[in-house]
Amino acid sequence: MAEYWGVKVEDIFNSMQERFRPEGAKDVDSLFGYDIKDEGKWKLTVKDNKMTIEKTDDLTGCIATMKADGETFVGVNTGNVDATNAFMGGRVIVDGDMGAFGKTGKLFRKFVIAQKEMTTKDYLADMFATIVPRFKANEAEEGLDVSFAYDLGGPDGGKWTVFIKDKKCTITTTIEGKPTVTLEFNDARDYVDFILGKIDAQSLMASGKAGAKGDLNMMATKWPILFEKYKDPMAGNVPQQELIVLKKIISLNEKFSTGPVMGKFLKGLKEQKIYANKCPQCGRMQLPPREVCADCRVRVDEFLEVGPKGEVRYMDIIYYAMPDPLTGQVRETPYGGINILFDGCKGNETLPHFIRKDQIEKIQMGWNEKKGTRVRPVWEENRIGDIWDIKYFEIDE
Amino acid sequence: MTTKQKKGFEDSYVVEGKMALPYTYFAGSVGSKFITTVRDEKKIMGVRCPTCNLVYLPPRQVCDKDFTDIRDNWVDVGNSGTVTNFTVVRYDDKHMPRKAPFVLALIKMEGADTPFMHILEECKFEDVKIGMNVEAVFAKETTNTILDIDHFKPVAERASIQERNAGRKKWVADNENAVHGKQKGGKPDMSKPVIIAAALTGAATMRNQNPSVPYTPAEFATEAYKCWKAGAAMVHVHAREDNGMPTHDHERIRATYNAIKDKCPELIVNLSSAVGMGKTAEQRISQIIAVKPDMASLNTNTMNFSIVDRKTGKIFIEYVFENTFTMLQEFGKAMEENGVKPEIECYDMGGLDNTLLIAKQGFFSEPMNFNFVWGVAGGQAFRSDAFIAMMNAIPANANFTTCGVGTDQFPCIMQSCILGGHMRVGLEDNIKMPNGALAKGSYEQVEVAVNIADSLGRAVATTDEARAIMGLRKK
Amino acid sequence: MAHRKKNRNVGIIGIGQTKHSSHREDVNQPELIYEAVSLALKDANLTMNDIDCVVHGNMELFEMVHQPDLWQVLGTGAYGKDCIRITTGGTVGATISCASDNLVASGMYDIVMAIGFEKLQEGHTTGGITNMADPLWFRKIQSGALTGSSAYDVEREFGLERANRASLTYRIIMDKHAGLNPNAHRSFGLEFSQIDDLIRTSPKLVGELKLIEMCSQSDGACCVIYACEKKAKELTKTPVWIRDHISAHKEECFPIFGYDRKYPVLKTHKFAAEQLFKRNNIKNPLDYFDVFEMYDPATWWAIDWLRDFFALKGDEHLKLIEDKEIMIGGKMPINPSGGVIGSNPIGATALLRVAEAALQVRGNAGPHQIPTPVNHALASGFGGTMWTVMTMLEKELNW
Repeated sequence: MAEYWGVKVEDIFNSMQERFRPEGAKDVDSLFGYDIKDEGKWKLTVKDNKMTIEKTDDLTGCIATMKADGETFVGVNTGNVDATNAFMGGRVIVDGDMGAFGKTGKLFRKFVIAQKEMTTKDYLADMFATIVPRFKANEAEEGLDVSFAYDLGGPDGGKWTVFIKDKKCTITTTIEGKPTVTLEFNDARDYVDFILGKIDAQSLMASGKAGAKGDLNMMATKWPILFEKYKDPMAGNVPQQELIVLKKIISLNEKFSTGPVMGKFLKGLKEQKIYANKCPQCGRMQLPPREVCADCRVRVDEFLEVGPKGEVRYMDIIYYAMPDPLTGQVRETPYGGINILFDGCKGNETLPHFIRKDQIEKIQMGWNEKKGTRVRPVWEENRIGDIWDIKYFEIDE
Repeated sequence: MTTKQKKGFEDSYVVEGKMALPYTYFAGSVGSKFITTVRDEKKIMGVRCPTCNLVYLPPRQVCDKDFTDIRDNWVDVGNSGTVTNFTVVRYDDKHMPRKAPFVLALIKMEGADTPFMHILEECKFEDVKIGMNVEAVFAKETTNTILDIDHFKPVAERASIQERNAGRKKWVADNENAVHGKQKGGKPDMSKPVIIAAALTGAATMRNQNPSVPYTPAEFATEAYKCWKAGAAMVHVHAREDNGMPTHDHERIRATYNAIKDKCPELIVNLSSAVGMGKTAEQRISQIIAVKPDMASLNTNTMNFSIVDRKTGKIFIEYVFENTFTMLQEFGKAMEENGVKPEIECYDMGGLDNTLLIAKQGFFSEPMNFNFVWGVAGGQAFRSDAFIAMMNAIPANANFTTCGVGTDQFPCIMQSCILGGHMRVGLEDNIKMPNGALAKGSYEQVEVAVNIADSLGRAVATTDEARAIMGLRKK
Repeated sequence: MAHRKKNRNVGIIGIGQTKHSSHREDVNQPELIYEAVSLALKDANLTMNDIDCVVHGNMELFEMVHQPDLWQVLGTGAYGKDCIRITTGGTVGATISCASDNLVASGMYDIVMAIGFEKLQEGHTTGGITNMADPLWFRKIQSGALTGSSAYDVEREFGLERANRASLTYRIIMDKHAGLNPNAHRSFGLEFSQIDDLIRTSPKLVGELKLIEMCSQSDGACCVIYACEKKAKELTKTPVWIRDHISAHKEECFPIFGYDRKYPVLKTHKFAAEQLFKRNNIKNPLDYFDVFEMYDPATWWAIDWLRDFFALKGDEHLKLIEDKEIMIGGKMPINPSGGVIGSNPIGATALLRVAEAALQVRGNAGPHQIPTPVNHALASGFGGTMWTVMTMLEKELNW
């Protein structure tokens, strides 16, 4: 099995149980399929706030199946591939109930790539292997002839000597000759921590974990000049900063004055009447009525009752769940928004409203001379002078 | 409709509406760090603009005045501040953080230059005053907002140092003859105010030992300011690099010195002429001449200055601290010529005698200021009788202060205070409080010194008084 | 349209924009703006001290922050300066460009900085847009900026198959353009071979309007600096001159879409383009302009509007798309930047059209620079129920 970013496809599935969030599984009672190219198929069962995952070729009964290649699947799960990009770009395909599949997003905690850790031995090897490359020859003064020895104890310990002579740096894995200074650490782990800056030399020495023989002062002053600082290869793995994101629904109460014109329209609805007004200049019917005709810039005073039956000139089927501006909660989809041309109106003089949910499929839109499906309003029993005094429109048979 | 309607408007009426929208706010990296630091560390951080030197709270990424990117210059502004303005909110609204009535105050935190608004509780409305000291009370449960500081409350009022000093000074003035009559050669003379100095860092105290050790100029300034507010008249400084290494770099030392002076102009700053291990004589004195601080340390004998296991006697680091007669003479002359008053560091009686010998050349200005240092591995440990011997050995009009390493710190300053001498504390000498807990900063030890002075009935010297006592140049 | 007398010429001398992306949790609003502002200042080699006036805008209700011009001073640099806030819906970016042009042309200010920004992830875009409608009735019914009506119109005229293929061809060209633009928000790496798959699989939003055909929702900011002729010539070798701009607004909601050929409706794009080209004596805009940065909120609108902007007849507009003449290197490159479909921080979007068109004129747009010389560029903005702003940019002061 191929690895992507150090992760195998099956690592993602095998960790699902561990990453499962029962609180995200409320109201979920479904089977989901995963079809990963060249890797196999998995079936996820979620029921009663519990889950099981199995590798199987039988994906029958799945409400939705995600299809992707291994790299994309691992990438999306590890954050290396943008999920939206992959989905929009067709690299991830969901067959079946898209909305239901969306709920899987809440089922699991994020997959975290296990950081490969460096052992003391790895660090020691890296630290001493990089000493010669880190040596800055041009900083060594003429005639400088020193040697720094390391005697590190503990299971991973060892001995090293660093020689600087004739502006050259060499290293041996023994202690040879008479070093300028010898650093002694009881445990090589402390040396690693010291070089990584996790603990300072004085604390180590004060607690008896380390000591020095010879001219420590020489080393303390020369070393930082002669060598570049050791770079921790794991330093890139610093935890990311926590970024605060606050979520809320802002809700404000408002008051609107209808004015005399819209007031007449809304009051009309209360009496099951639909009023338009007619421009004295261009003759167009405005619905809802407006005080002026914006095209002709003249006052419009003549109110006429239209409808209440009419034909559908246009319908939008809305699949995208959008919030109701009154509550901030999303509406159930799909629903149909229609533009109705009431009897007594012509051309584009339509009013938008909703169609009865179960009749979306039956609606024909009108166009030019072609007539659309005839509809009639369904009135609320308790009308208050609001657009929702009409519950919706239904086909007038 | 209750209002009388004009003709033609009979159909007008008012509709109740509502607008509800989901909303997300991204605090950004600066804002998030501010909140998470409050939440996790109970610490309030601002940012300093290096161009205009203002510390902004809440922190921001950009200084709006000069458009500088300042996002990385974090400064701890402390958890207390003063009320610069306030209002009593007397109407209720669902968007308010509290039920009315409550107090909203503009609070300028100690280390900040801009006030910020928060709730003030635990006091009566009529007791709220502009200028009152308040401190943050952190929330028990986080909301990841500014309300992770639940509210501010008044700081338990304690008589200020000035108020406490006033009584003592009056008593001394009223009984001048009685006091002086009892004392031989002016010592011990407890009638003089006691100078409290704070040694903020030294060369060897590192953050992993005590996280409050300042490294950057801004941190030095904040720490010095806290010490000054607590009662210190002087700070002693070994400048550090950002990584904590002691430095002899003139620019860094000057930046550190200036940062402290910008923050508290009247505070006396005493720079080290030892700097740190392994520095040359030139490196040690040239920075003093370059920066010309009010005062600088002058070390008096070549000695061991080692790190030794105090339990077993095992030597960890062998180090010889070189201070030859020539250096003592040249450093001393250079300081006096540059208007820098030497603080003469005596690690034992030998060092003191060295100084008295060299002093015969006559270049030391009067009064001389001695510091008796106890507990260095290579110098002498603190002993009460040795202290009195040293006090008696200095010239009659000389001043003395004292400091002690580790557990010697508090006993030696207490004896000094009793004998009419002065006191030095700080993380350089000791990272802990008398009860063994880590000090939150040198300022906490300054508070201990102030309490000692209080208990003994000695006034705490202001910076002006300290300058007069030690014979320093005017600020 | 009798006005448009400029007191003096105005040139664009600095352009800055953020990388547009879906989530910028690491910056708050002023911090995002600061990124674009500092890039524009750097581009113009100016400091905030050189700026006489800041014109600032974004959509209302999208971030749910009141008085953004006030608290965003940290990012706009308007501390102690004249600052004007403008918000005109989707056209806001184009309107602040017009306003900045007017402020400099009038002689009021020598150097004006225009800033458009949006952090769409902070609010709810569609929820915000529903609030532009009459709260007494239409707000309760309408569906934000989403409608399938254009798709329906194109389908009815040219058949479902051809319409869908034209829409997706346009979409993939935009995706390829966005792939060249390092600041673009979304580029999926789409290929023309995927057209049939995408028609089948992309989820529907409203009617025939599919997810893949709709613009992205982005966080981003754009900043453009305008200077009078004298200053522009002093400060840069490559000012981009603003020849003319036009705005056409229309009443809210009323017949946006025509249902009957006997009753034609006013189409503001067509109306504005006709006026603009007529008064500048441009007979054939398709020949005259070298590039067009069009505000294209969805592919269906884009393909329909091409006909309106360039006064095309029959299926000429579809042919332009089908023959890929709108690609970089084609006869009329549309949105080398990837357009609104590629990145849509709404308050910045229409300003980005001007900025990207100006970059093309300057010749240093980057990897999405069109290979042939650009002397004349056109930018459009769209907003409200049907509002249009158009801006004409020129390389030389010779009209």
